[in-house]
Amino acid sequence: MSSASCAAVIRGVEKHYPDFTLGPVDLTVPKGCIVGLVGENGAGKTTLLKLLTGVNPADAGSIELLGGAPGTPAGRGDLGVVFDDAYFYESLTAKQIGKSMAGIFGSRWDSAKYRQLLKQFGLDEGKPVKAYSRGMRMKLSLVTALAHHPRLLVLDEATSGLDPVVRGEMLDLFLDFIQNEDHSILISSHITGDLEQVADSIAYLHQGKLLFQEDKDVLLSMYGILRCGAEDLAALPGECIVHTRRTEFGCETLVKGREEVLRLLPEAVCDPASIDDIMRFTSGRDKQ
Amino acid sequence: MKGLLYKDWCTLTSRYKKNFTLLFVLYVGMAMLFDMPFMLYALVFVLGLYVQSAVGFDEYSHWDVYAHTLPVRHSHIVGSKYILGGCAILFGCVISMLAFAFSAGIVKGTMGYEEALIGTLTAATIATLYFSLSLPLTYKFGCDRARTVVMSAILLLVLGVFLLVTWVPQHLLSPEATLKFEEWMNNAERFFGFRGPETIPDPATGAAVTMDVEYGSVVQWAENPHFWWLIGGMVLFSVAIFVASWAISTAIYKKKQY
Repeated sequence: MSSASCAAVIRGVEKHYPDFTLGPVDLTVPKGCIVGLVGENGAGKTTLLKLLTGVNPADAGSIELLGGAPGTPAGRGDLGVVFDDAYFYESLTAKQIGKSMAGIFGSRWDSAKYRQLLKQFGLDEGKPVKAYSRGMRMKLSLVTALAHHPRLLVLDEATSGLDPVVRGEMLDLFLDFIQNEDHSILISSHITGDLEQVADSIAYLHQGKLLFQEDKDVLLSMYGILRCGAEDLAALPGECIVHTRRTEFGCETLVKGREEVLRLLPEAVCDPASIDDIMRFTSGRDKQ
Repeated sequence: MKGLLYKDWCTLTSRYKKNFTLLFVLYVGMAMLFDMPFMLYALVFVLGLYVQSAVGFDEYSHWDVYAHTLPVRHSHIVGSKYILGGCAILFGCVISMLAFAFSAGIVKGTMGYEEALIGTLTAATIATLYFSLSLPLTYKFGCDRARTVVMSAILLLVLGVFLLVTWVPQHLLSPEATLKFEEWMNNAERFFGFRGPETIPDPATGAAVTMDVEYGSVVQWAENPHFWWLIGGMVLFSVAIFVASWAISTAIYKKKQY
């Protein structure tokens, strides 16, 4: 995929901390796509997003963000970011935040759109942020990230801790945003169900390494949960088996190449695996 | 920069509006009723401290992480604190001078505007130097650790100056060098108006009479034009340190990782 067709391209990026190493990571965010970034707590998702958005510099590798390098003020004008816990101080009101952002973004800031989104989400612009619920705060963060018409949205756990109704509203907004083919979203989330609903591709970060970035539909059709006895499992080629959990009732296995497995074991039960399943089994394999 | 200044201004006013009103009434009230002019000098210092705490609010809300994703320069993020800090100290000077008009000292005539101006400018200098010292340390170590580091730095600074003017001349200099140092100090004090002239003419005979008087009153100091050089130099020095501190804070901020 050429970098011109991507909102963000990460190549061989590494970040080293005394107790954690991220990478090398290769990841692309194609234009017009929603890329879901999944991984366990401490897998390096926020670290990666901070590198991409220019908050921290990478120790190795290269990052191309909207055709430029991350960390340049000009490039950040096209970027909308929602971090889980980084925002304005809680005593400010939405109105004050809007005025401040207008001063920061200048002519790019669309005050009318900001007010319209506040109204759409039922956010009182005169209330201080501390008076909002967590869901309202996340909505305000998202509204703030959208009001300057960004081309790329980077969202770190933007839907976590929210009730299904609010999550649904936010997911609708993501889908609305992505209607423009020049727009893209990179979203990290623990709620893989949300990503299964909206993401075009899924990137799985595990212990600082990107295990895969795959088209969501391909991914969900490729992996399966096979339930069978140990003797059936022995009939499968090794490359099909990601990880097996053995119980007194038999084996539960995450398999890769579900169609091939079903061809080899036509009597076995092999359900499509969810992203959660893929994460749980992969994590279980590495703990062994 | 405009947006950053507005954000800091809103953060500070939303947190300190009531607190400042109370403090203003209390300090000005004490200066008016009980002849305590230093309360108005303290007001200048406190205003500087208010702005410094904006860094703490940023730290609490992880604002700097968010700010790094916005189209603003690092020097502007840091600069908004310095501009606001400078304005706060300046504003403190103005309201302090205005409040002096109603203070007991001025009303009763026990102190003059000159003395009030000297006190206010000294308070502004101390506030500026404190701000300039503590802000880079706050960016470097974070608010909590910076408090201890700032106190230690001030302690070391005071101890250093104390040793330089007392212990070093007594213990490290030869008796001749000590005498020369004391003479130099006396001359400097005389030059700036802290000490009277070495000799004055006897009113009766006209002969030179040796005088060695230390002036303890601000009114006496202010009569010497060189004293005003000192005040001006002190203010200029604090402004230079303030600008240098801004540059150092920006350099620290650029290297910071989150």
